[in-house]
Amino acid sequence: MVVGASLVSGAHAIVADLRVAFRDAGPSVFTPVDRKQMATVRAALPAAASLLLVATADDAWHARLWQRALYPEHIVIVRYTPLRSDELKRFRDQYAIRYAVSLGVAPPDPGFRSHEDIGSLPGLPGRVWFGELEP
Amino acid sequence: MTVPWLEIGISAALAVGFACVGEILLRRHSSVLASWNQSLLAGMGTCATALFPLSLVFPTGAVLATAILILLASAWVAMSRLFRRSEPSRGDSRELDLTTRLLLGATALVALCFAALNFRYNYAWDGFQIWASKAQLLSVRGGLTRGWYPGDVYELRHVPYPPLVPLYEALLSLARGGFDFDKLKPIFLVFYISMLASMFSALRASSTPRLASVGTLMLALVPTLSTRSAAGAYADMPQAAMLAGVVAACVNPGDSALPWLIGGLTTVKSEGTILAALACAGILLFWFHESPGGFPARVRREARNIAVVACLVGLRLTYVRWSGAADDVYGPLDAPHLTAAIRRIPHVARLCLSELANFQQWGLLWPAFLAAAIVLIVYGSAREKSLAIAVSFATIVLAGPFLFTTWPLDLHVDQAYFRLLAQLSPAAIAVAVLAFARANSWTGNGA
Repeated sequence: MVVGASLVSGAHAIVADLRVAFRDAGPSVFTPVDRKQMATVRAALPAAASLLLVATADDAWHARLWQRALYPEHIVIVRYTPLRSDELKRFRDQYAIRYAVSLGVAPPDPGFRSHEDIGSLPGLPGRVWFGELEP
Repeated sequence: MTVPWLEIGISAALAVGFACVGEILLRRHSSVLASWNQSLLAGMGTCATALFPLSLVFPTGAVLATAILILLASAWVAMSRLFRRSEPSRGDSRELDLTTRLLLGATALVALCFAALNFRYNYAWDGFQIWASKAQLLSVRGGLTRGWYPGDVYELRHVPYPPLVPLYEALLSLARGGFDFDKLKPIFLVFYISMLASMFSALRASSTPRLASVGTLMLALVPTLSTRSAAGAYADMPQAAMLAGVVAACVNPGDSALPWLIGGLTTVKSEGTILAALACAGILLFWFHESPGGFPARVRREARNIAVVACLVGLRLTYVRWSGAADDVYGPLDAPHLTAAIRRIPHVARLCLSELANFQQWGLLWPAFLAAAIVLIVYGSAREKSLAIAVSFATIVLAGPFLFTTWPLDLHVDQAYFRLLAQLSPAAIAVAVLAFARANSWTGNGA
């Protein structure tokens, strides 16, 4: 009976996961949309430039995805809302940050001088903004 | 599905390298899979432990130094095998019956499903945000450091996490010529196969091949070890693999790999240190049960093995102290937190019991374990008694940290306790199978 129960619970989990894996999973942790947006930002950033990334806590996965994807070529400082201007200034001074990416349904403004909307977060309503910060 | 053949080959080659390190440590010339598997786990654990002192000596070259050590160990083992005939196989050469073959075939099928999920699935949260990220930092920086990604404060708590999985991923990246998050998954196949091999070896030592294959199939079918987080690159399944190795060494009297594998427990996940402490307590209990009068002499006789465990655990604790990172997930052991923790006991107990009875997650594994533990504690040999007591105690001790969590309690137990139980499941299955074998011996049924 114990072995039978293991068979039922195990087989159920495997079949359900195989369905999800072969229906929904892609070949990379970075979707083609992520890659395109990251390539846009990489192309615009000076070599070795640090970047500020601001997001709501709901977008923590994508914030860290960006951080890991650009590391080590670009250091990405991730901050979540509510943003503290003194903290942002400290990081901007410490890492000589001139550019920022902002993620969210209403992307938070870390002090953009100008920004462009480079698309939506894959499969989510949130948007991705990229731009230069006020000096 | 994209199968990363190159990375599968490199992972297998690294596994052989780890096993060669283990062969030297254990002074073995293995000729059977079970012995090679123990060498693999001992080598892995020791390399991961050595990464910390290597990082102090070669701050930017510790991963490279580990790779060189593995290469030297492989060359040494290859040379020594050229000049020395291998020991005759101690493997069981008897023919397996049809049922056993079918059970092993079913286990292989489940392993194939795990492989498919492993290569098809992307990362789940911890697999990417903690373990693969730690591997990226290790690859870029070349050794363990006190920092996480620049600017991160909350995630600094990941710094002292044990390095075995990230080290394996970083070595794979070093060998393939660059770090790529999408190419790290093959290492989990090595852990999975090792876990099943250890389980079969553990059960085969004290029961029939048929019962051993039943237990191995049950372990393969545990959802947390074969799907979901395991396929999402979490470190719980590798921790279960190391524990399965410890169980295999525990049930084989006089196994020289045991202290190295207990030390290895501390290199996979933070809770591995608790598991190592519980394993030590179980062994002390066994020595006492076996011969209460001879206990002091036994401790003296085992001084070398105790020193191995103390050294490996000591290095782990030193690394945690050195990293200096605070973990805000758990409150301190002060009077207000202790009072709050005591008040939480009934609620945590209810949540944990409800998880143990979760059919979808476990089938009837934990109720069966409970019954089996009682049988072994009452009627088992000193070895079986000690194992049953240690695993029973572990199910309680592993719930202890929830009493001090700063997270929402229900959420934390819901997200973490089943993973802790999954790490423990090789030992629980061993207890269940040993009890069944003992019950069969009363009825004269060889099964």
